[in-house]
Amino acid sequence: MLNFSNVHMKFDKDVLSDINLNIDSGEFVSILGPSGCGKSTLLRLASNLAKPTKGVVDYISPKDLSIGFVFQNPTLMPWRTVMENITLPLELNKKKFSKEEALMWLARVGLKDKEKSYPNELSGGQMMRVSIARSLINGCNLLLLDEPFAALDEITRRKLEDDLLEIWEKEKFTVLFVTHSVSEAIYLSQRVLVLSSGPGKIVYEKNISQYISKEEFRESKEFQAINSEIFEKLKSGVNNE
Amino acid sequence: MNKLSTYFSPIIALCIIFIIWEFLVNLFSIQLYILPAPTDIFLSLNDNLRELLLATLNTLKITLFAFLIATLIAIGLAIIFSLSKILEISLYPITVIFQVTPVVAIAPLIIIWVGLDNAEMAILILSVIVAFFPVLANTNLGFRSVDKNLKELFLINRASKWQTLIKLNLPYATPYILTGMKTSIGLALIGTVVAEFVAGTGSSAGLSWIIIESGNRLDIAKLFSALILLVLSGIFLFLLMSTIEYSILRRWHQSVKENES
Ligand SMILES: Nc1ncnc2c1ncn2[C@@H]1O[C@H](COP(=O)(O)OP(=O)(O)O)[C@@H](O)[C@H]1O
Ligand SMILES: [Mg+2]
Repeated sequence: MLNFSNVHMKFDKDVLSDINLNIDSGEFVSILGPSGCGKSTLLRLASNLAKPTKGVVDYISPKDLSIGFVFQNPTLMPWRTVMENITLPLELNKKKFSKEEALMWLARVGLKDKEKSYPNELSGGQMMRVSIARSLINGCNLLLLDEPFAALDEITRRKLEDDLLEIWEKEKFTVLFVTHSVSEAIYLSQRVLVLSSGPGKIVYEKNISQYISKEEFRESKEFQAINSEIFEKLKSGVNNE
Repeated sequence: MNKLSTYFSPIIALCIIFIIWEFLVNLFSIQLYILPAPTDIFLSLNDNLRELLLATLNTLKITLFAFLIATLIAIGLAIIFSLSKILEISLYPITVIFQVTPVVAIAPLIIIWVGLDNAEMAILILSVIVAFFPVLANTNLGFRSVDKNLKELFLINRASKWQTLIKLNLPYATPYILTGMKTSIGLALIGTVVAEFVAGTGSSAGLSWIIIESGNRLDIAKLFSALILLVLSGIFLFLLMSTIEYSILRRWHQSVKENES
């Protein structure tokens, strides 16, 4: 789906160096790293918003590529209703769409009765749900999320994680999920990558295999073991601070 | 403080000032041609009502027309600047020249250019020059303030420049534009009145003409009535813009929401 080969990114200083990364179609990959290590930059490269200083970012089938991006802030347009916010990508791509289709997406993110609300009438969790619906409505096959749940309380956050997983299991788009929460990364993804800081390098990679339900997995000893293992790697990757 | 008292307190204060004014004028028997009492002013207003109202309408008509033209020119320029950096850095400083030059100083030039018998046109142009800058500066600021992530969202969805302008930049800048317009509408009135003064008699029959004429004839009561109508016009224009702003931003803008509660 998405391939990084020997990618370097330099602003005033080196931010990312020597990133080699291949993400298969339908995979759910998380990127973990301390703040400032270049996680957002990596997503900007993955979405073609920025070009790497060196190296190549390419896609398996660029023609059918449709990217959904979820920012850390919900990034809604306050002058539009919830409904008008989520249909923006369809509008921009001049696609015909039915109201039912849009309502279906609202229902899937749990906002059935909010279509006529304005963003400033929503809670933080609800705004993030709108943002997620908007990123998916155009039939996205590569979903990039930049610490989407960082500002939410624990309960809201777990609900949104489960809802995201449910949608992903149905639609099977590819996900690149950036977070600084170790447990979130392990819980959600099939593969966790750990970035070090200054400059950001992939220092560790862990496949999360799964044989029991997500809920049980979160409470299991194995989950704890992976958690401590990754946390150690994350800690040793923090240098130059 | 409840709503009623915020509306009525200034009116009551004004009434008290009028009463004291009336009292003092009578107490010291001040001459009518120096300072008329409020009752004299209202009598004069009543006597000259038709002439005064016509003049007010004339001034308001030019003011509103100039305001609309100024707004359109300013938003148009801001859009052009947002599309072309090179035009922005070459033309923006020139617009500042208009802003810092006193309208009285360029009035004679404009009047000569459009012809002495074309006073209304000269007044209109001068008023536009006075009024357009706040809208330009605020629209410009609004365009620059557009949320970075929203811009990226539009890029990811391969939005055209036109789509970005219509669906993102203009709506995002709307509160800024309205703020500029609220300043501009007041400036348009000032510009019109000052230009009327400079343009002199001509065909113009605005409030300035009445102020000059009654001043020359020492009809201070009539002069005051013209002044009162001028002040009321200013308040009317400001309330008009505030109402428009409120009805546009009511649903979504934070500043309106916060003021409501
Ligand atoms: N457009 C930019 N220009 C200059 N420096 C940048 C830019 N974007 C990011 N950086 C720098 O790159 C580093 C990594 O930023 P970022 O990718 O946002 O980190 P993270 O998302 O992991 O917190 C930071 O030091 C930041 O200052
Ligand atoms: Mg970041």
